[in-house]
Amino acid sequence: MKNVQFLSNSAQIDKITKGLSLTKSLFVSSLLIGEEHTGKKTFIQTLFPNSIYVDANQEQELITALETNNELIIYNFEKVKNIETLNFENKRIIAIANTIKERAKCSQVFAFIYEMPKLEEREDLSTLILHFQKKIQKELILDFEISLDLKKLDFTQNIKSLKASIYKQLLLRTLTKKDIQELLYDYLFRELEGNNAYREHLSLYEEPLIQAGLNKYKSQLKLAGVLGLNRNTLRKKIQEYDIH
Amino acid sequence: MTSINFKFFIENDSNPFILFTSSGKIKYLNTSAEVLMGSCAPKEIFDLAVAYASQTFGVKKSILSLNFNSFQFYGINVLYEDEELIGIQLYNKTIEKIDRQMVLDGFTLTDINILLQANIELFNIHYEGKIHLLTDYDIPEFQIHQNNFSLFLRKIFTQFDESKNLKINVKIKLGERVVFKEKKYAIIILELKSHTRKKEIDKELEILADKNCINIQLQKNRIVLEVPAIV
Repeated sequence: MKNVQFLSNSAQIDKITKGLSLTKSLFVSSLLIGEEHTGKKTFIQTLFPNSIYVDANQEQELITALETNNELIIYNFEKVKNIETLNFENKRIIAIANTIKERAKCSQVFAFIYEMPKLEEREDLSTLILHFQKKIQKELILDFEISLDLKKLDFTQNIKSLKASIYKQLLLRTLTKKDIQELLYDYLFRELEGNNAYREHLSLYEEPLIQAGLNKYKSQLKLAGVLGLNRNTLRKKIQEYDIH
Repeated sequence: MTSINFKFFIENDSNPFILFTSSGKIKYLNTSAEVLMGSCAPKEIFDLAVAYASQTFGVKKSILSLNFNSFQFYGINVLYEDEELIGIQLYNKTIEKIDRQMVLDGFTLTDINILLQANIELFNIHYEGKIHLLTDYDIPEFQIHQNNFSLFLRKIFTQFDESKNLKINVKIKLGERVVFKEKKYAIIILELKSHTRKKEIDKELEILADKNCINIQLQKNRIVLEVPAIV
């Protein structure tokens, strides 16, 4: 098992850690449920680095592992078709699942049921964001200070979407005029067709220009002056692009 | 000389102690007496105290055999030093419970404190009240089916999940032993107490207690488990 690190400064996760650590010497069955990409497996790997891990998708492998081990970590447990057929008697079992359909059955089998919080619900979220930002900045060799727009971070798929949204923000912040032109070139090269392409693709330039201008100057009158446009022309374009 | 608070010691004495007013109202009762009150009326005990009190102020011990449901006593001590209050202490009889029905398949030697602590941690994740644990860390390991016992404890804890505080007390029961395969073993008391508790799954708890070879007492605001400490 490779060396893994689960980062947490959350009181709720500390309680799960304490509970699971206490069961290290006991022959009991525990279940950790939580959404995808909340770090469940990494978390268990930090607590039980030397255990045997088996994927519940591999049914035969799982049955064999149960016959030959007193301690077993079963991941993708939601894939188990028939819980009753598994023999957990006098074994230390830690099952990891994204969801549980047969909650009543699980409640009869697992003495300890823990729920991994969603990323968005964790009180140490800011620590996590900072950790991933530092890591990604290092990867991208960005050695200057960048502040992220927290409103644009995506938590819908927990760590996966958070990392992706940090990558995206950091990359966008570092683009030069030349990078933007290259991006546009690639895009336009793929998309150009028809007989009205100039007007159709004008929004690529005009929309962000007006949006940024309005956010910066807070007034259409001021922005019209900065852009060197007639006020009515600017209002028409704001309506055309449905900018609020 | 500094004053000593004897109340703690009386409170946790395994022999019931009750203090009555002259009209028979309970002024104080210790934990063991509270449990006993589930099996007899206060008046019965008050009448007993009055009947066996010494003729003048003082202390009088009497040897007599008393039974209140599963509670058995071999003697009482009645104390009074004024006309206002009268106290009675009941002495537990040593009982040997013979249980040939116990099947210990899947049971392993277990430190009950570790198992209990793991269950407390699980309960504590969502519990908003305060937990007070009073335990004896010197209780030796004994046979428990760890998974079944934990499943049982989890259900018991849910009966207190809306309480503001929960007192958990673990101790060795004095004066009572269990006999298994011709050997005598101690009994461990695990008591969970709050101001109130849920009662919807009492029947299920009785079945689970039986499965774990445990005697359960389900009372208004407390649950008491008597766990045979078979080694």
